[in-house]
Amino acid sequence: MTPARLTIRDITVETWRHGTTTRLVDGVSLSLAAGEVLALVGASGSGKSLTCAASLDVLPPGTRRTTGTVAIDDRETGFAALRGRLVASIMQNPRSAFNPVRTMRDHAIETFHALGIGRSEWRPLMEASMKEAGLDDPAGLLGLHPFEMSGGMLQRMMIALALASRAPFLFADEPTTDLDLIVQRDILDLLDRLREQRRLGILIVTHDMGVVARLADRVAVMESGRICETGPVRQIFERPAAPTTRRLVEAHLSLYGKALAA
Amino acid sequence: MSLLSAHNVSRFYGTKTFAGGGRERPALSKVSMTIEAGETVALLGRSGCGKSTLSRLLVGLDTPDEGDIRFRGESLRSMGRAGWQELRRTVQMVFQDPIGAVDPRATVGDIIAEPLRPLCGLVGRAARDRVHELLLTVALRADDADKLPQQLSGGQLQRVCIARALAPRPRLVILDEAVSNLDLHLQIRMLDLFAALQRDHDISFLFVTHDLRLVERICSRLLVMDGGRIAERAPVNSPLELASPEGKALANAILPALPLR
Repeated sequence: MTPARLTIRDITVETWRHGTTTRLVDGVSLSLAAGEVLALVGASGSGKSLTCAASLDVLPPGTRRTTGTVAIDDRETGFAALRGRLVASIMQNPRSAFNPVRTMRDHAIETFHALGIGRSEWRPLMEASMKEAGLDDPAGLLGLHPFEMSGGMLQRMMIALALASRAPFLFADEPTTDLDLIVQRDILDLLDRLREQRRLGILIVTHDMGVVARLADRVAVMESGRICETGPVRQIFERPAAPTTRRLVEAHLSLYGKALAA
Repeated sequence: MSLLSAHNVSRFYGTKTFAGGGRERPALSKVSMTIEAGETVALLGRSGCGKSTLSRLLVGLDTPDEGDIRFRGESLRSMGRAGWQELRRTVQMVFQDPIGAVDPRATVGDIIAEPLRPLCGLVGRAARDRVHELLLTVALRADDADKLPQQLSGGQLQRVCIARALAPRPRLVILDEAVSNLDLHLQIRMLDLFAALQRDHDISFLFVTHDLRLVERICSRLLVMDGGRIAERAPVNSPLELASPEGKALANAILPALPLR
């Protein structure tokens, strides 16, 4: 049965230097349903990416998770069991996320090996995933190296690899920040379609409230390692409660020459 | 007379072989444009349309294969040493990637002070004072001058690059996606700074971007580029109305202000 909900509870991440520890993420809890887009927003350095990394056991060196659990449909599970199997990830800079000396085919094979998918399934699964991600010529593209592809194509390839894993949830960390506006729109349309058709549950990390307005159902706002407000997207835009949320929404609306309704 | 202008400029990139063959792809085809003193022009287009190539030609970092770049009416091809010195002081550029644009071993103070001696003859105390003033202008702190680039965030480092560009009191600053990687409130703060500099000191800006939202805020007219050519020239009005297919595509890609559902 497809899981209906991913729950992250009480994640704390610390770093240490010269005998003193600093909390970077402080007791963050999030819940993500199948077919839902949850946006995690906040200023740079507020702990958004670390929260995702801690949930998948891929924290960078020099940081450690001190508390926290993850659960699928209320059954607690291991962090490593989530990664790749239940939660696929796409990252901000598609150009540095791929190995520059390997072809797309090599990347696909590595993914299939890691997930233990049988060889007979590779070809049809990869071709179907690439078509679903909007890449029309799978056979031709699989022979290419990253430098032979545009940023938009690489981001689609990263999404295709995520789809091929059949994971029911997707973590997307600033997936369109490095892309131009037109490619960004196409990638956001694609994510929206996948939520709709595949019932994918998507956690999207972003600092652009325009992306939130386009895609999100719910929003969680982070500041200094804590969640300061969570709510449905309309409520966040129309009646932000926390000062951080207010500032984010006001700055965003001022770009469009609009003000927050008082 | 225009401050800086391009006349039927083309630039080809490609592989050249010893036999003289190889394929050449035009990155720019017969582009003409002008920038007048005190105006802010937006150069818009998607990745790969040639907008960065054009900016590099305009500041003289690269030479066109065909056509002419003119600084105050004089062609860069025949300009003498004094002309180049004046161009380098007068026209400054801020690049997209701040980490690649600074010496990782120099302090922030040294980075900002670098153009002051050769271009303005400022040294010692006078240069230090100017650096402090510039740091405050871009919303950094005076004591950031002693830091190394790696101790700053990407957004802070980009503001160091903006301060360096403003240091020799230029007449034109070319901003090549220079605010795209800043947090939104910092983007707005930098745009307000540029608008104030333009108002108070009559500085021109060429604002290279793919984000139409930022254009309305500070630009008076815009150029849309597509496939190495200028597809549209238009004044900036509110609301912005673009006629060319490429201009329309960019306008359609603007993200919504408010949630759709």
